[in-house]
Amino acid sequence: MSNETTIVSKVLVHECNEEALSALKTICTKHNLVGLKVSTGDNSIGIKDATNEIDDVLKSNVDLGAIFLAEDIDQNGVSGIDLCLNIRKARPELPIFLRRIETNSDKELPSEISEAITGCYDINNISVLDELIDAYICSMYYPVELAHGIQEVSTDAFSNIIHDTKIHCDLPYLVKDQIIYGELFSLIPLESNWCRGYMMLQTTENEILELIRSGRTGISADRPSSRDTNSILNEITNMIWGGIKSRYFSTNEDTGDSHRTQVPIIVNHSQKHISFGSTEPQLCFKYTLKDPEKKFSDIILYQRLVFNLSWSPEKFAESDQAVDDFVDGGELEFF
Amino acid sequence: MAQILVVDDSATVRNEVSSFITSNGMTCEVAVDGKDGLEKLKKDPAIKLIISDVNMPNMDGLTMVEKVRGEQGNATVNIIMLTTESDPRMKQRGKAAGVKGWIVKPFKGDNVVGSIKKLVGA
Repeated sequence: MSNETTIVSKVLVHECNEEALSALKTICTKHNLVGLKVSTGDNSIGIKDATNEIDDVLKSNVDLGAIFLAEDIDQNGVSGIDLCLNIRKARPELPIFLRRIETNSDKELPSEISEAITGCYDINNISVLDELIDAYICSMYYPVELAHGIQEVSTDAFSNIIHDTKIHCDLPYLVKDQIIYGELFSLIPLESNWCRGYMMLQTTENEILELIRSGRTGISADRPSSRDTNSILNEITNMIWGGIKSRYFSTNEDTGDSHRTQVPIIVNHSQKHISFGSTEPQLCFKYTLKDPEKKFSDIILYQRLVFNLSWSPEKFAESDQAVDDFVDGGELEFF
Repeated sequence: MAQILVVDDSATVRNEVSSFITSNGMTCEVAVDGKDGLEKLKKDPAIKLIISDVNMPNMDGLTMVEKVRGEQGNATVNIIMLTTESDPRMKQRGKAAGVKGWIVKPFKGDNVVGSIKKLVGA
């Protein structure tokens, strides 16, 4: 894990104009965006195939920050205007930015298209796109120190519960996606005077079952059940929560009345969708747990921090004193 | 009859701690939360040490300790908390309730086995 943690965001790009693509690359670098380019294949395919191609990318990426489309018709006769309605239907939480040819506004677009897209820009006025990215993808500031610390705390928790495993963490990134990954997820509240929300950990059940069978956890490797997978995720969540609390939540803070407010969390099982009531970007981490002896397949865990109730990063530094009081794990302190 | 009662809602922790205890020649009983812990303690007078989590459903670990010392009037059983909590206010509450020691998770058996044996008289 590097000390030079940066926070990035993954975006889907469907763009056929070379000049626009080059400008987009510059913008992506400037804003720490990682572009996933969608190819609509050879010239023989039409709108149905292009939509399917994008559907495939959307299905395999549950952690996107935005989508960039273009008004131009590509080599297959497909325009971003044709695609945006389907994309909006599939992932309504994702902002869609449309590059237009003659203008940087949504004029002369059908009203349903205007409603589906978040903003327009044109290649001659790219600063508009800067503003859109700041407003919709990078609208929430997360301190890099926090992201780095959460990676450390989480990696320690994984190592303590799953023995002899190599842990890889991608760069932390911002997501607007509300799609659930895997069959298993945990939620635990994070409450302090600088944040209020949840930590969510998501993974797949079969991978955790395989892990237990490998004998690398405290659970008996003999015929593990879904209760055992729940137990593993429960303890990982608990340990990360405790680590974050010890490290970043000041013991002297006054929690106050604001802690009484709540909003419902909606889970739609058929759509594999979870909403916390906020559309602000969430801080996300993707961990891959690898067994050097290959006794179990790689395990992917997505960790999301969703500060949907309160977020005051300017107060984050005030809790630094908690770090000084951090106790060595595993030592018995007698009273 | 067991020497040590391990109270934790996590099966992972219960398995890990109880396996360590039995592999070190001591006997062990487990409970899934504070309420279950109180019941098991009442039924087994041989228990010399409780190792308990703090954050558990139904009844948390510190409430259980307060009930062990208060309602059950058991002043002799040793109690150690094994938890992710390191908040000094929580430790203070534990100390006031009669907790003997505090371990911040993870459980590293080799670091504490000597102390555990001493507390159970093994």
